[in-house]
Amino acid sequence: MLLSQPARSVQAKAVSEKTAGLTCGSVQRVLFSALWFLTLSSLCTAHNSDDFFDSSVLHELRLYVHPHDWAQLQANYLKNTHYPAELYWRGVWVADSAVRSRGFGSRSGIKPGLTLEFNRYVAEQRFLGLTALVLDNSLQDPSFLRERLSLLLFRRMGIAAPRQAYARLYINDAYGGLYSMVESVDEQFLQYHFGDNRGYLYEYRWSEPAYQFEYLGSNAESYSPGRFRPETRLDDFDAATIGRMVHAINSASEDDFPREVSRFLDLKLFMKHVAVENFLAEPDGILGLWGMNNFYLYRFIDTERFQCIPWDKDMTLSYPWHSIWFNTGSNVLVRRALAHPQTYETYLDALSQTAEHAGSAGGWLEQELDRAYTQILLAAYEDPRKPQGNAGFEAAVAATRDFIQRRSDLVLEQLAAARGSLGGGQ
Amino acid sequence: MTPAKARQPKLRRLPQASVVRLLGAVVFVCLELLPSLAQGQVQGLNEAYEKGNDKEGMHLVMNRYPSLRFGNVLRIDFRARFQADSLSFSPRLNSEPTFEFNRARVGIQGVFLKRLEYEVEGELLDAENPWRDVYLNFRCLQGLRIQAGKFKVPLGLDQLTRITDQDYLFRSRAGDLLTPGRDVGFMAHGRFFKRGLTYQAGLFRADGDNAGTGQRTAAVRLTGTPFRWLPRARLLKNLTVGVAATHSRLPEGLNSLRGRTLSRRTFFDRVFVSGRRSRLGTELDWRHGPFSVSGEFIQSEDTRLNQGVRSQNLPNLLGRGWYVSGTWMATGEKKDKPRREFLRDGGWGAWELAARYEELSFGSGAHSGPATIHARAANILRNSERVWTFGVNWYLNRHAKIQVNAVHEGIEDGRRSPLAGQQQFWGQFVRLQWVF
Repeated sequence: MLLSQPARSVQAKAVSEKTAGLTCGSVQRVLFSALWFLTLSSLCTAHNSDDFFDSSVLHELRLYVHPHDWAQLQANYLKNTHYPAELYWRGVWVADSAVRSRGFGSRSGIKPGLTLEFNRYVAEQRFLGLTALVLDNSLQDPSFLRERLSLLLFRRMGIAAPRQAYARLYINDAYGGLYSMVESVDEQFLQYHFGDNRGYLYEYRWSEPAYQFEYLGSNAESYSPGRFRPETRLDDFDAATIGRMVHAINSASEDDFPREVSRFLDLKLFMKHVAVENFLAEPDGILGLWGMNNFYLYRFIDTERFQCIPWDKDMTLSYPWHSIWFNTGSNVLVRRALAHPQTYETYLDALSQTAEHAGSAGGWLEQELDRAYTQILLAAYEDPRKPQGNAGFEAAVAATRDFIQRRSDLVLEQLAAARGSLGGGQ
Repeated sequence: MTPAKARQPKLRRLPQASVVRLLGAVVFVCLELLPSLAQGQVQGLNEAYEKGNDKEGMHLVMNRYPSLRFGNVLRIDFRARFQADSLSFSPRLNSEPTFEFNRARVGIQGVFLKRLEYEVEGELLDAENPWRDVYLNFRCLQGLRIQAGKFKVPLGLDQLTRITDQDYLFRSRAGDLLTPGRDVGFMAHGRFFKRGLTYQAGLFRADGDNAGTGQRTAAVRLTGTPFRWLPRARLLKNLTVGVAATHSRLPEGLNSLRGRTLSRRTFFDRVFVSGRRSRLGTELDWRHGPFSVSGEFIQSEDTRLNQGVRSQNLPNLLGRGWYVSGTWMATGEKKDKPRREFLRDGGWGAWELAARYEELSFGSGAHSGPATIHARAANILRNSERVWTFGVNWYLNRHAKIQVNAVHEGIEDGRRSPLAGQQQFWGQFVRLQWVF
């Protein structure tokens, strides 16, 4: 439950103590009353999730976990064991929450990535409307910037993507490091970004062998819940529609492909998603080096249409010469979509638009980098658990800046070449 | 701390097959008849010893059980207890055993030099923890005996009654889950006023094998028959009342008591505790002719010092349970003493009807804030179980007994029941028991 009263009491008491020495006259009493009123007023201001994910400030989060449990979490960081926890942010307490280690390649016992679940023990409990929160340890992103800048670019391109903000995380009142607070993709995310959460949400779960929308047969269980894990409507999740979509992707004729697949996907939006990922030189996304990864699929209620939602963009912005055709020949959906002239043009347009939005040296994306860098500099330097040290942090920031300064021009060059050869390069 | 592992005997489960059942029944009947026959054969030998007044030498006595005696120096009684159960739950639970041999206990007990009693009993089906009662009991003075070894911590009438002497297949939930059970220790005990007052007071290495989580334990128990001297209280003459308490150290960790159903499924999981565990038990037992009534109330309290998320103290964890049980020997005998044995003297043995109602609940001692289910919750969401048991006991003779029980279990919180959302369960159980 949200318990802001203790914090108010503590702060009021602190104010009272600080001003005790002044209260020797009516003037002081009036001043004290005014100060107290202002303090309470500021604390009583209702917060919402926009405040929480306000990326213009560096937040301070205080996480309380019993020392025994924290030691267990660190020792067993490869497991998803839940531990009771409490969270404090700007005068708001969230008790009876659960915390667990998270991540795939970024799992760590020294600086664990964390998922907070607010409704695990109290079903109806929410924190500013959120049921869960991801605290990314940025272990695969020594600059701390990739996730922030990537998600910003997705949103700038009109693609629904998780909100993100930085926080100094204190664990049992000791500084635990700089974390990236990422909005969890769940029912609250759907409601916030789409205005409706009654549909079917699936998280794509990477597993071997690599999968790129190949047809695995008519058995819907070949797709879900194994690879496409239901996140909502667990009691009546729908694997059959995914099966039909994959069947259409693989079996529609060349001429019918856009029409058949558009029953299940907004192809224009999907190609924009792929374009942004390729602009960001994402090696672990839909066109991932190791097969598809790091996205959610959401099927809106009463339709068969899905939309992709990006996730976990901490390996982007590293190789500016990344081909705009990277892995496009391997993924069945993208390969067949690009074979169709209209979709092909859509993809190139989206890339061009992305490059334009991002800008080159001194452009929008570099300005965002500067803003974020300034915001996190001190917290990153003081992070006792970042593995790469301060020199590593600075080097990573410089590399990210270099990527941003070069990438748009390099992409535009590739686009010019592609347009000149009318699709040669596919 | 490492979460404590519950010690459970390893059961030998057999597949549900009519052949196995038939085989079991044949073996049981053979075992049931064997002691009677053996008793007849050896009786002559015993009489010869008795007539020869050879009490100074070694001789074998076959009465209710074989007993080897070396004059007045040493007596060795050979004891054995076997039980096989057929269990069935509705709705059916996964991996539910349908037929199991769950006890095969053998041992010796006796007296050495009239003052030193002993018992050694082992469970053949439990390879990990085979020893049950293993102790010496020294008669020091009138009203004072010192017992040392492994035996039951004195708390709980139901728990202290041997499983083969139970009126039902299963002990009451409170008697099973809130009491300590066996542990290693020593105890002073004795009785006064011709059993009008008995006492037990002991110290034990740990908290018994039922919980398996506490440390050094002190226990005390007093029982008495307060109405036996009242001239006009004949009916209450055999009314025994008692009170018992234990106090244990409790190491930090997931070491609390937990609630489990008869099917050994958890309906209240362990929570983090630290500090001490105290138990309080009150008991009542009344017998009059073919009737008996018994009941208990037991409460356990585990402290949770520094176990909050912010290392703050949490309200204590409370476990509370009680039961009331009544039995009636329909064939008129005093309890469990068949007047005419089955297949001998044309008798049908003794038939007994029994019924018991009980409740067991777990929750926190204080209820501030929302109730939740995690192991460090200040206000732990309570869960409880209510159980009805109806039974028929057929005492074929002094050695063999067949018990049939119908049990209805109700779980308060369906989310924590053995089958999520399912709050009501029926169980049908049959036990074949052979003891000498």
